[in-house]
Amino acid sequence: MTELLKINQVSKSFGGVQALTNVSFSIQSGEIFGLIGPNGAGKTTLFNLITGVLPVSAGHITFNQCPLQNLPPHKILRLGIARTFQNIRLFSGMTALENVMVGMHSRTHAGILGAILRNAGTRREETHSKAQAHHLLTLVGISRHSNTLAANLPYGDQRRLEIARALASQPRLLALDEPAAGMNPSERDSLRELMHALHQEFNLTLLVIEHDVQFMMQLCHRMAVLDFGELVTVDTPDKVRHHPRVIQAWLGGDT
Amino acid sequence: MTRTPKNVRLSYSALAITLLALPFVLQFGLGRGWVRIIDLALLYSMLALGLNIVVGYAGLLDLGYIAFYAMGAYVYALLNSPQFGLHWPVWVVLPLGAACAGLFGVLLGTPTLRLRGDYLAIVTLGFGEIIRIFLNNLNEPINITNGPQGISLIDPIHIGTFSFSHNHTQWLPGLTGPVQYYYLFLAITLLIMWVALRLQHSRVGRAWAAIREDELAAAASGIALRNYKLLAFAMGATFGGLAGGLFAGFQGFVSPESFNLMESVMILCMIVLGGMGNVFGVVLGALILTAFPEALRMIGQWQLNQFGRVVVDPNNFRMLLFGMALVVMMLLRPAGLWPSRRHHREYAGERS
Repeated sequence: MTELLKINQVSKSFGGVQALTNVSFSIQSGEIFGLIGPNGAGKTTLFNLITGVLPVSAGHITFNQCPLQNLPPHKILRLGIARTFQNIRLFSGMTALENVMVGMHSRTHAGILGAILRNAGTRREETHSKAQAHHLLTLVGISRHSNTLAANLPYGDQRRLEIARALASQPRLLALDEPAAGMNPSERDSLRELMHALHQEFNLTLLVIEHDVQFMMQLCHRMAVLDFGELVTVDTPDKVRHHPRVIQAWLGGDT
Repeated sequence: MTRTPKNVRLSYSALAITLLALPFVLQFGLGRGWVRIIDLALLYSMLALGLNIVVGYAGLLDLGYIAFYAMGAYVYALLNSPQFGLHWPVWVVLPLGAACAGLFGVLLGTPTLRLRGDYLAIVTLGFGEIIRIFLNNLNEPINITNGPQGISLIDPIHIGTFSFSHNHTQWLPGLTGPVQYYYLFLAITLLIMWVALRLQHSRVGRAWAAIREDELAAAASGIALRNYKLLAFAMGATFGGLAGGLFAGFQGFVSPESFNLMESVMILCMIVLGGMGNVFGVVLGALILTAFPEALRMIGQWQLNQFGRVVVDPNNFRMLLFGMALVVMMLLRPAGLWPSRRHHREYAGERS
């Protein structure tokens, strides 16, 4: 296994609020890595730093040996990090299929001239995109909804569509921000199965934020625990479960 | 009627014949003035189609769009009038005007990239006014634009020795200047519609739609926001510049007051009324909003005949009806008369 994403002494402050302090860990290629912590621990902030939505205040993030500092989100995506959002952000006025086709943007090339002239190359690319989008919708299990507007999809399917859109960019690392939020236990189980399947099929590395510790224990190979913007520990689920500060943070008990 | 290939072909033929016969019908039926009105309506259609790319496709509210129309018009006017004694050929001047406008589209777009919604509208509004005021004052120290007097005696659009302003009734009865312009403008409007439709259903069009729906998600999906916003500004401005050049040649006279803020607002109204994002709706809006005020002028004449004086000024009446129409529209058809599939369902989705 090789190191895919390296987070080195990363800090982030918003004015006087220190959201993250000297966080360091790295994610190996091919693992399912979890990020847990109480509300406000800085999990989503870290996501936003990795995907270029926010600039880091201090420290370095490298992906596949390539520094991500000051890269805009679309360039980071092109390098191979795709993400979903905590509060679903689909293109709600577009169909499921179109959403996935937008996700394919970074892997397609047709420009303004191609759009107007619709030459053979553009038509071929368009056909290919459509077929690929159908394939991805089938993979996440919502192909029957391909012509439904994203806004009209059931909640769980919206989550799945967001995953399909992220997959469309052929990422190496898929970052999922609370993918199981608001789901009932059976939906969670089927989502976990989907994530395992994706991990197998694409040899994907997954970075997952989730509150549900049980869900994460069953899913992840390793996990990092954040609390008040500081890294508590990085370890396997079993060790994390018995870590004194984790017990303190979650159960509030003395150790 | 079912949509068999035969029926589709039939309705297309009927539409084509109507469009071809329209100027003659208007000319002999209602008078020559109406052909000019339809010519103007087609120019406004081009403008509305251009602005629709910026506002309808990419969701960037531009209130200074008329500036690009002005640029195209002045490029044509300066290079084809006694002002500098230049008389360049049309096939150089029209593309040059369009290109200048497109370039200014990018120049305007660059500083506004970080702005959204209301803020963007204010800045673009300012840009529109800057251009107009420049045109108004560029007669000193060197006289370039002739200031508020504007530029007159502009050469009509001509290809070789064929001038679109000259009557050719010896070829065909009723083939007057406005009728010839009608065919030229119709051809260019159809071309712009075709380009707009192709853009909409392409990778570029999807990228614009994605930016309109959710900028952050669009960026996270790999869309270079800066490039695609600038592309939308440039494309919209190019169409505006082209329409401006045609306007200058058609009208024979340009002055800064033709390019005031109210014009920008009118073009935006055409889009909103017709159906934002839908090419056909936008053209419908342009036709209605150009023809409607002209039709109202007749109410003044009617009052004069009926009561011996004008009781309600048609201009006030126009604004009254206009306001009422917009209110009714927002209540009954918030997505426009002929909405795009996408926008329509956005509104439908909000309601359900």
